[in-house]
Amino acid sequence: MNSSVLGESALWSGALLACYLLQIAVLSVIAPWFWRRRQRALMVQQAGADPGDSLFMQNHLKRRRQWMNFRLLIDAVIVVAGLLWLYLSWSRGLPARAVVRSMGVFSLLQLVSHSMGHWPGVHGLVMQQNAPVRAASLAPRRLRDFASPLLLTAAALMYVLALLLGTSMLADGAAPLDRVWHRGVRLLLILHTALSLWLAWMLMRVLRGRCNRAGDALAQRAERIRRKLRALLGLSMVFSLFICLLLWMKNLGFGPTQVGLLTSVFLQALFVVHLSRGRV
Amino acid sequence: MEIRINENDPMPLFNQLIAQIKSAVERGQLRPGMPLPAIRQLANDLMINPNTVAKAYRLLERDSVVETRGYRGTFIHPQAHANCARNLAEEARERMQGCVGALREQGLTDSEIRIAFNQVIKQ
Repeated sequence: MNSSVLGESALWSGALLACYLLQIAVLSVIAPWFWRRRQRALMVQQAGADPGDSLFMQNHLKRRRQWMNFRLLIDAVIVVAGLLWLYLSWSRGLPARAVVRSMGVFSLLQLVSHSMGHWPGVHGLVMQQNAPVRAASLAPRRLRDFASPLLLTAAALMYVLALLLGTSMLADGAAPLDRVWHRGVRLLLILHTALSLWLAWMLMRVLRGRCNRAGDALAQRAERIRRKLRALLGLSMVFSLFICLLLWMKNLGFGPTQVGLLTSVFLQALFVVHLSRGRV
Repeated sequence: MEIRINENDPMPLFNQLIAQIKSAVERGQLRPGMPLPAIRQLANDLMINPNTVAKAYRLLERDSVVETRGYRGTFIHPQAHANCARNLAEEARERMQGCVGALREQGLTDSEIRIAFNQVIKQ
């Protein structure tokens, strides 16, 4: 390994490479393995709930198996592409900024593969629709019924704090003439706002959206909504904190290697928490 | 308060919703001023078309069992309890019965009454 490839010390380069390798392992090998294990358990559970072994159930299970195999294939392609890209970038001595940017795009690919786990049929939606008797609560669901005002205020304040930090840096930054630096800060703020909007949309979707398990008791459903809403609000706060940290690092003049390292560690930490809570 | 629909029931879904909401008002489970869920929320929870819920709410509003307060949502009408007992369809039938009886007394045939009724309703 060429230590000057990234224009940084050997220690930072090695740490970044190790971090990206770990990211490939966590997001595209370990997390999908957990997902497949959960899918298999759900399939056994669903097959057991239909002792008649109906054609509908057979088709449903067949579709799920096909979906699992498709995701396995996608993950395999991602792992091979990621390893190949890391090898090429290090052996050809690409600049740190290019490596970190390309790995950012690669991380998005990994997230797309992860989101595939939540696509058709995986929650047994189709099966629930077949239940002829369905119940619902006649009380409107409001955000404040599921999340404490303290949590809501904290999430909103964190967002505003990150925004203020970014704008104040743009107005009176450490490097007012550095265009790349300014573009980077602006990009972070746009990304932060876009992600916050997406989280707000997800909040509304959880609150008002389609119920995946219409057969569950109302209390169970409410508990599930409460859990999801708290997780989304928590994610929003953690993300705001992460943006603040990145802005602070930019202000102190940290290079792309450190920023890339932090982003990768953050992403992996999110997944580890996600896995440890059994939400895959 | 829980609402339940049964797709195998011969009663249309919107009528099931209306009957259960009226019944809850009569039993005092839904009191005046209490909010009802948004159309989309109820439709999503029950996995039915939002138009079905909208139709049920519209008919309940016509009967003054619920009232819509713009973007704030749908609420139980202050006179909902008294209005639940009213059956507008039955009232219309009784009025029509009186009217048709009077026309028959004047010597009009059923066919003439039917034609006149159709002309009036098409206006």
